[in-house]
Amino acid sequence: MVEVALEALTALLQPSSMLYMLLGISIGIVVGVIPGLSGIVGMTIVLPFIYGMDPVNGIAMMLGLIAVIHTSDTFPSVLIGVPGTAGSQATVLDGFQLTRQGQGARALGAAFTASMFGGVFGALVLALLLSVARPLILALGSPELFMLTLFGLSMVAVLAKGNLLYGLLAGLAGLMIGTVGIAPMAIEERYTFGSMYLWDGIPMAPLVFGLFAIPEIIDLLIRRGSISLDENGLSGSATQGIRDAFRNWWLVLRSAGVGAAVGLVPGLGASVVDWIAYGIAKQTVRNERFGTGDIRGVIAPEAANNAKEGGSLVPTLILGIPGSATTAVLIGGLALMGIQAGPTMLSEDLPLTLTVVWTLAFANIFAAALCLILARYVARISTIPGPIIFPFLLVVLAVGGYQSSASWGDLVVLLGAGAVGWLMREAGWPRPPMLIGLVLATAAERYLSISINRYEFEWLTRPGVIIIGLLIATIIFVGGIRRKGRE
Amino acid sequence: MALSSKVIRVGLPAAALIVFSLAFIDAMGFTARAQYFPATISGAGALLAAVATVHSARQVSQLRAGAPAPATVVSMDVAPSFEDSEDDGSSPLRRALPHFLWILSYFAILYIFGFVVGTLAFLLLALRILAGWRWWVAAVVSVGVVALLIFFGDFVRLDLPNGLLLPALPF
Repeated sequence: MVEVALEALTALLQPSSMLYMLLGISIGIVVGVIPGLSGIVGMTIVLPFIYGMDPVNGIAMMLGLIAVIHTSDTFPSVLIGVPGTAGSQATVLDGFQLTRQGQGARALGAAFTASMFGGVFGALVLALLLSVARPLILALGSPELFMLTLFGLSMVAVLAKGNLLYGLLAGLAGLMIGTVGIAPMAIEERYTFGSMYLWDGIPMAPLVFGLFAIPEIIDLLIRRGSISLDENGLSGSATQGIRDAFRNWWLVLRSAGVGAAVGLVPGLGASVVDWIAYGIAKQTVRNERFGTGDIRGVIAPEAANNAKEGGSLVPTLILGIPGSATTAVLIGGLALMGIQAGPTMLSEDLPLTLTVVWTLAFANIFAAALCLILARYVARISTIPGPIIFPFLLVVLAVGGYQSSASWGDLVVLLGAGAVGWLMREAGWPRPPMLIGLVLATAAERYLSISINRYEFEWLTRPGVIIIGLLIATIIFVGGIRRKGRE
Repeated sequence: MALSSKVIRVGLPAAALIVFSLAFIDAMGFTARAQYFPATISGAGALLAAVATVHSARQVSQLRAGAPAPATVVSMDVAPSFEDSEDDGSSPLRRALPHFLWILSYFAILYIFGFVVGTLAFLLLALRILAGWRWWVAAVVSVGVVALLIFFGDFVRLDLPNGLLLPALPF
């Protein structure tokens, strides 16, 4: 195994492979920085060049791209309060608050360091679990998957602490929005009002931009100041953020563990991993001030979303089960090079599989280093006065939101969500629960329906269901009791 | 507390109550397989929204009676300060409305003139009127930003909106 790993490393270190990896990293960074674009856009850019390519070069390019999107997507999340991708929604909560306090560079420094360690941790998980994860993944049926969505939904209660009534209401509103479109278990339109645009449901990106970014923009214009409320402009540095990440190494490690574990579950989605990591961190760290600019609220989701990639490649490579649209395209890309994702990845294609592991690790390190160099300069965006930055921000939001379905409906959703987000903000309603509800609605309904149809109520007695149920109870109640004790 | 703040505080849960109730009634017309999930969610939502409406109305009436306003935490979840927003005497809704109109105007000119012309016009006007830049500076920057977006748009295959009168890229 060690020999094969060294062979894979040598192949990746060839100048041509490194060049392709750097090309993939560059595209990944651009895709991550632009709100509204996801990994699948990056993959469709590189896919036409993959056909007939040397497999090591092709893997270096594709994995280089996939690995770094969740590193660079932190820039818009932290600096302008707009999630770069669905995987960095939770980063907005504390990252943007830190920027408002003049600590944008610090938040970026901590985020990139956590991302790097998370990414390398994910690569390690991929290497270690390749040969043993198969039975574990195959043991996950619809009941367990439903319980895992319930685990995600339980974060609503965690994030709505202190404002439970409105938090639960926002969570239910998110679930309700998630039911719009064609029902997952019946060919039937729900709440579409005859509009074909709504058949696929309400798209996530314009909704998130509207809920979070529009209210901040309005606030910026009313104040006529810059995003940073600090009179000195920027008081925190990226180096301080790096130190924060090292100081919170245990949080980085366990959040990366959460990320990799969520990634292992096919179909749970990138959108939920950051919320789960954020919620668990909120429940377990001492003296938390999450939501008001706690650096640990940036570290936890960022370590998790990069580690998720390593975890999600386990079912993708060894079972051929794509956990997301991006990994589905990856399987297609591998096929174009004559590689079949599945059990052969552990036998005849083992060197290529280990190339994936090395690429994940290297790409995360390179991307984090590059982003750290840029952080100090890019953070200055937060000192630009609101009336100047507003027009550019709005153009970015409109173009980003429009990428969801290239329809005018996207801009209507953006505007409508902006109005609702502003009203929620003014009324003191927490907005994150709404997103969690929206993200998990379809999966929750689908897995619950399959579980009941297939097992009736016997599914409740499955060991996996009981274990996940106990885990949810532990995180919600024990975390709450511990916190009450500390208070 | 200005009138619009009270309206928002009580109106939002009341609007949620109406929406959840209508969604519940609509769900009654779905087939069984499509019905149980939205019916459960909307039923629970309507119940909670009713409680929230009563709760908010009581809070607002207590404020009117002179009780101190409930403390709010400065976070992404809530407005910076419920009371601060009334500092200059105007209601938050009145202060936010002109800025919403800027956003609405941009989307409207995009809808009519497409991406390039719409964005050029919006950037030019916003940078001149809101930022106070000179016309020629605003024009150069607007052209530069649109050119950059077209270049990157081509590279990462961005979809740019076509207008009613003009396509996204009029060339």
